[in-house]
Amino acid sequence: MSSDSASIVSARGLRRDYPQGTHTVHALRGVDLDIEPGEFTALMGPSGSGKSTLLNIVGALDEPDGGTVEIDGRRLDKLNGNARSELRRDRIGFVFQSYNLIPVLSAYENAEFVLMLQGVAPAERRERAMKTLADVGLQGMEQRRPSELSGGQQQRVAVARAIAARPALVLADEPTANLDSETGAELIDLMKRLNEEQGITFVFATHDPKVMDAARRVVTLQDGQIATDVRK
Amino acid sequence: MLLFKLAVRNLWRNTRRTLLTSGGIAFGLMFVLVVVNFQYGSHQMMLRTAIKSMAGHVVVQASGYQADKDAHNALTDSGQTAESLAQTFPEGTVLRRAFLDGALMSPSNTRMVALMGVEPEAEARIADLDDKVIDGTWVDDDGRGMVLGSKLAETLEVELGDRIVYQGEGAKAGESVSRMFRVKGIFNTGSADLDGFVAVTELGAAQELMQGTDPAHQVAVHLEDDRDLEAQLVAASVAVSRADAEVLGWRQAIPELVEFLDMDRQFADITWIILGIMVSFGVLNTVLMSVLERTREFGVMMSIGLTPRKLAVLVLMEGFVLGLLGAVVGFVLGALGTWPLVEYGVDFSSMGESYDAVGVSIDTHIFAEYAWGRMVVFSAGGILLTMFASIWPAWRVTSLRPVEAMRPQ
Repeated sequence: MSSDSASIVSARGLRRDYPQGTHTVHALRGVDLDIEPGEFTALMGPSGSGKSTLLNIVGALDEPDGGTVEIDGRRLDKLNGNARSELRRDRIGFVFQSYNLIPVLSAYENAEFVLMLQGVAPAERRERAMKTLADVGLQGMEQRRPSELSGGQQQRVAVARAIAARPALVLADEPTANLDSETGAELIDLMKRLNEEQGITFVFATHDPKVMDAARRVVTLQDGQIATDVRK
Repeated sequence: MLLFKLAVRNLWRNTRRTLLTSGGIAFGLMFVLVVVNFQYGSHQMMLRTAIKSMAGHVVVQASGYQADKDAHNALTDSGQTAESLAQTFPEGTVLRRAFLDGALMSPSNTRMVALMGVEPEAEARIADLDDKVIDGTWVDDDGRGMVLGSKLAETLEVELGDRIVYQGEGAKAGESVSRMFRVKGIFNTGSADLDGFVAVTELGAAQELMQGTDPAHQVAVHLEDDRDLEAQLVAASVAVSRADAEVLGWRQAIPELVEFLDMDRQFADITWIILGIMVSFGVLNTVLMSVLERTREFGVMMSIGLTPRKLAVLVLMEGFVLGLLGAVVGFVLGALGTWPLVEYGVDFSSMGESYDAVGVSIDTHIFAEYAWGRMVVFSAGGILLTMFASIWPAWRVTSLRPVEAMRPQ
């Protein structure tokens, strides 16, 4: 793996340890990873292999015990809390296993949330949020609260929220794990289409073989290290 | 706006908890406002009584009299001064008073008294003492008449028409003056001080016992409206224009009472602040519970770009909305709860017809008055305390790390 100046993500020598009682779990043991624009990458591996940890560190949600991460050429360890928040707001979208929508906001307001944080003008915000919801197939459901939507629909809102702000990168942690296989397949198709049509870069941490089938690059983690990195 | 919308909706997620908490704030505030208004009403009654019976809105007296109330230090040519003031304040009432200390002697007893010389008609128009006459009549221009407190009359064992002699200190040291009076009336206020030690006569009679030309200890102006007192004091100074006189506003003229009322109010304020802090612990509990329940949600918000600072603002805003709700409802309930006390008052007459405070005797049927300014201040204080109670929970969320906050509990 080589560092590339055009990479969205460039991680070098990532280490992450979790002390557990008298011993330490080494979740990551020196991981190097570059993600190029437009990639549709799956991080595979058994539970505890370090997929989510790697995703959290790349997404500036967690800090490594060793190594560095650059997003768009900016070193994360040089950023303070507010700067990391702003980086996540402007450059990274997240899709979580359990949707994690804001329950008091409607589908539209959830999609609009990051745009408001970005300070996008109301008219443009409305247009983009509505279009994004239409793109993920939720036209007509904009005013529904998360509790009024099915799991698959909630995850679509989560995807809409992740992409509405036009991030450089969308990180999805087990996005299909809580969905039935048919809904999960629809969601993968949706993200694949967004990747192909809009050039959005996706990185998944997943066990789902369907995601692996759809991915153009599969990175397999084993005991905190990259075991294989296959581009299709 | 986004954060405000979120704050409002978050509060309504747990309607019962929000209503209970804001209800607690509202009822606490209502209680405070009703008591504040009642206290304000009683203070206003005391001030009005004191201004009417002991001073005026504007008081002119001999220089130095306020610092040392020496009966020898009277304002001479007081009639001219009163005339000038009457021309300056045609809407007001100007009256003169003399205050003498001496002994009142009857055939059977002697008693130390405070003798007040008044202009009968003007005094009756302003002060209430004439209304308290229970036997005989109020003083008139007949310089021989004297009106006594009921207890004083009892002690001296005198009745209407009886002769009594006042003896006091004369103009020179060691010299005494005396004068005979007839009991013209007996008043009963219910105040031990007034009924037991005060006698009233006509100013001219009192002046005969004093030195100087047309002396008086006080020329008081009673105004219909004293909202512009500073300007009115300046106008009085110009009208009086005497180097040997001092012109005081009512605050300076009755400083003991003003200080007493200020202290009484401050003491009550401290009690309200303590009560507010106690209520704010309840609010703290609510906000903290609400924050702890949403740790994961806060983690999500941070992960999608909400900065820790904005997250703290969100929590503070929830406190603000909670406080605002409680304050608005509490203000309305406080105003409504005060109304019966304004309209009907509280009758403490079973404890006596009046009570004394710092030399002022006030009626025991006390009416509340709306202290709108203080009501607004206390309501704003309620909001501030609620926000204050939200500071710690708000600070807590700033230290959240998204990945830990989102970890299943």
